[in-house]
Amino acid sequence: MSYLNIDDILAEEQKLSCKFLYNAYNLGQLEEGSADTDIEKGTKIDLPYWLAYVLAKKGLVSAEMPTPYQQDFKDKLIADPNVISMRSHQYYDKIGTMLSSFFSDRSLNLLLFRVFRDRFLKIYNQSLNLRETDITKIVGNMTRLERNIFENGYRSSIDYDKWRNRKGEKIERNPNIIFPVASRSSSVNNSINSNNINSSSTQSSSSSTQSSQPKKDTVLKKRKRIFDDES
Amino acid sequence: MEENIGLTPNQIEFLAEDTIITIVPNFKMESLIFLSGEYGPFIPSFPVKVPLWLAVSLKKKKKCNIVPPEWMSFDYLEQQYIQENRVTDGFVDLPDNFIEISTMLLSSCPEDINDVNKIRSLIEDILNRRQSKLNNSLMNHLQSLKDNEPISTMEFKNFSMMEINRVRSSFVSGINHLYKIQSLDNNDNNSNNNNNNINRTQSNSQTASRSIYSNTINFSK
Repeated sequence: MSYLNIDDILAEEQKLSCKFLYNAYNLGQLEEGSADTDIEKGTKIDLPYWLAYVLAKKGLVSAEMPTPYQQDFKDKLIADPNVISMRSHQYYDKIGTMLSSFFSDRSLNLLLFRVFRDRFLKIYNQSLNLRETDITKIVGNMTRLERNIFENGYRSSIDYDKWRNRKGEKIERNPNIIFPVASRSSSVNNSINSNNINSSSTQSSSSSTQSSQPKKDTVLKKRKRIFDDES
Repeated sequence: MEENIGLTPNQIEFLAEDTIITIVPNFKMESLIFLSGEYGPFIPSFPVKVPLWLAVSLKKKKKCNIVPPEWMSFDYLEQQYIQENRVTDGFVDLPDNFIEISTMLLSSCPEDINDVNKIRSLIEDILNRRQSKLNNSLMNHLQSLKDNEPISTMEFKNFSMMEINRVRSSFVSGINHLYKIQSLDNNDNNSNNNNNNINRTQSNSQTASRSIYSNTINFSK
C-alpha cells in the first residue's frame, strides 16, 4: 500500500453503501441530484471506500459490504474460481483485502485466499506455457493484480525462449520508446495526403480533368520552346 | 508493479561467459593480458585456457576449435537424465551455468561436439523435465496449504540461475499477495479492534516486513 500507487488509488474507488448516523451539514453535494445543502440523518449514499473508511472509523456513518462481496457472488466464485470473469471487478482482490480488515470479516479473507490461490496457479501455468495464442481474451478476464503477474511471467518466458533460440543477438527497436517528433509529423502529413487522394478520387470526374490541365500546359510550353530553338 | 524483478537471460549469459574453457587455436599470437588474468600464448594446435566469451569470438573468426567441457558428453548427460527422472522431490546437481554454456556451445561450435544432435535433444529433455518438476512441486505446495497455515519456506536445491529467473517474477509476486491476505487475517485476530489509524499503519508495516520473508523461497545454487 503506497500513497502514489495508481492501482491503490483506483482500488479505493470501490463504492460502499453508507448510512449517515447523524445530520451532516453542508455535505449535500455528496448526494446526487439533491438540492439540499445538508444530509439528513438516515440517508443512504454510495461513498467511495477511502471516504467511507474515514467516516466509519469516526462513527459518523455505517457502511455495508458492496454487492460483489456479498454471499451471492461469493458462492459463484468459490464454486469455480477459474471461470468467473473479473472484467467488471478489476480490483477485486486488492480492495477485498482492505474490506476484509475494515469489516473484520474473516470469512471474506478465507475466500479471497482460496480464490486467489486457485486462480494464481492457473495464471502461473498459462504465463509460462501460452505461446502464439491470442491472450487478449484471457488477460481481459483477470484482475489488475493477476494481469501484472501474468505479464511478468509471460515476458520472462518469452525472453527465455528468445535467448534459447539465439534471437537475442539481433538488436531490436524498443517498443516502449516514443518516436521522435519529426517522423511523427511526417507520418501525419502522409496520412493527410492519402486522405486527399482518397477524397479526390471519390469526387466527380471534373476535378480529375482539372488536375490534368496544368500538366498538358507545361508539355505544350516545352514543345513550343523546342520548336522556337530549332527555328 | 511495472518493474521486472531479476535479470534478463542475456545478462545471465554475460555472467556465464567468464567461465574458463579450453580451446585449440590455429594461429600464433602472444598472450593477452586482461584484468581477470593472462591468457595465452596462442600456438597452433596447443590447447589453451581462455574465458568463454573469448573462445566464442575466436570461433566466430574461425581462429580456433573449442574443446567442449567433460560434462558435455552423451554418457554423462544420459546419466543425469535418468537421475533426474528417478528423483521425484529434488533436483540433480548439474554443472555450474549448465544451460548457458551448453546453449552457447551448441549454437557457436556444433561441429566440435560429438553426437551434437543427441546431446541437443537430451539437454532439451533434461530442462523440460526440471521445469515441469519445479512447476509441479510449486503447485503441490500451494494446493496442500490449509487455510490458516502460513506459507512456509520452500526449498529447492541445485537450481540454476536461469531456471529461477524464468519463474521468479510471476511466482514471487503471486506468493507475496497470498502472504498479504494471510497476514491481514492474522493481524485481525491479534488486535481485536484496530479502531484508529495508528493501529492500521502499524499493521501495514508488519505486512511489509513479512512479505519480505515470503520472498525467501530458497533456491540455492
